[in-house]
Amino acid sequence: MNIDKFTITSYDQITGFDRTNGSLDMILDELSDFTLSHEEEKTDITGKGGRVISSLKKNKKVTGKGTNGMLSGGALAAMLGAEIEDGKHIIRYTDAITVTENKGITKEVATGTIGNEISTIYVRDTNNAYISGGKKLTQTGAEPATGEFSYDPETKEITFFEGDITDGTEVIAFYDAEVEGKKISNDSNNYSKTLQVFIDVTCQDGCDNLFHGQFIIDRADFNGTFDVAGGSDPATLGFEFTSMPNLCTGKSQLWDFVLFD
Amino acid sequence: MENRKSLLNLSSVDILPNLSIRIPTVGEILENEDSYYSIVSSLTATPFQYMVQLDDMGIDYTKITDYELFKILFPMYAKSNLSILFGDLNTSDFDVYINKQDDSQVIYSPSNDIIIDELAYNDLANIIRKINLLDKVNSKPGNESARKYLLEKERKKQKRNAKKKKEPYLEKMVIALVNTNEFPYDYDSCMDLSIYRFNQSFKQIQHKISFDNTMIGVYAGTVDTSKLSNKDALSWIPNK
Repeated sequence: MNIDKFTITSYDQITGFDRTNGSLDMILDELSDFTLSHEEEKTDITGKGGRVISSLKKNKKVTGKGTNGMLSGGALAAMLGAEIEDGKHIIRYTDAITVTENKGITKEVATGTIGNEISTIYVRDTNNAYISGGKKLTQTGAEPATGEFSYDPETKEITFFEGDITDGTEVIAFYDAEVEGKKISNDSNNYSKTLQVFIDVTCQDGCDNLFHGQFIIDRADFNGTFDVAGGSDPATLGFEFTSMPNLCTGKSQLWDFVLFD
Repeated sequence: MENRKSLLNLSSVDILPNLSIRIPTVGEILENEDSYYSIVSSLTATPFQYMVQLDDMGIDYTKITDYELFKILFPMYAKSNLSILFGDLNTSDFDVYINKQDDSQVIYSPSNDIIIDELAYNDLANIIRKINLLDKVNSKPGNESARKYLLEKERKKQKRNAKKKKEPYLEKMVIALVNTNEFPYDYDSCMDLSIYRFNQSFKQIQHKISFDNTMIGVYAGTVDTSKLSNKDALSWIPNK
């Protein structure tokens, strides 16, 4: 391909790898926009009559900034300085339970101190309020008295005091439950990561021929300032990194670009 | 094509003596716009646009021509109802036959005695593109690594799009235009417009809005015309 005449038609994918062990840390492949910005400071050196006789160039800087249409766990972890943990995690579960014959069944197994796994069950009042109004039942490890309930985690069964709750009433419980999943922790002691980044692009020459190209950034220092906004529009992930030379290997490149032949 | 009448004044365009392409109305297309645009995109497709499907069939999309792709797709579509484009013509027996004159493969219908050779195909595809404001996709990979890369990228894109709900394109356009000051038709009268007229109106209105906004900027002093890369925005009559 003639590298003197081409355009980048799309930024397709950004992959980030751990610089120590080379493992894949993130993939951003729904890029809605991306810009690789270049900066350089140039100070004129003037001579007789104020004429410019030379220039001093310094402070070269490359930053990559863009938005991925979808949140990426790996990218979040890179920007938070976190690791993704796969396994069992405790979450807070909201459970609406229908009472039948003074009994109810939780959807998940409530965990915590034995005899206080659920702690409180909320019963709505006539206005359907259960925070500002309604009734609160407390958990007991013994036989429930009025205003109390007991819970058996083995069978997930809740037992109410006879006559406290009429049949068909929906009560609400909030309890801790164990789920299988992936966890990212935003630790205040950890900061955003520096990854080895590869940016795949599609290029086009003047004759509509398409080519594959790739930017290689040895040290991309991710910025930990970002928003995860949601609402009427789906959450997107804005990201930013600064390219730095690899001092360990003595390489001073801020990036390499390879256009595949 | 150069000597043809303006499509603004036609309800069908002759391709061969006994083969013509209808220019359907907006109302006709809205009867089943999914089907219409599926037919249109298939009959005008280039191998680049069908790279994944061709690869699944074991065909290298860089090795076949537009006409060869048409010879694969058209006989499949011809069995279905193509009256929206071909009118009363019975298309069910269009298939690939050997042209005895030069031993080449052509699309032929014995019942209609119509041969769609490469020349006729180009004419047909170009007319359908023109009617529907479609540009021919001329892109092609520059080398083998680009071919594989683009194929992989397109496969991933199609896999993701398969899960997405299809948006009604023409319906959205009709709603947008009917509720635009510059469009002089209402929902009812717009249904009788040919799709070519409708598309041309859309193109002109889009250009006029862009021109008006540019001119507001010019008069307000916020737009410097010398820095405009698209000088076409300085005239309300588009150059192309």
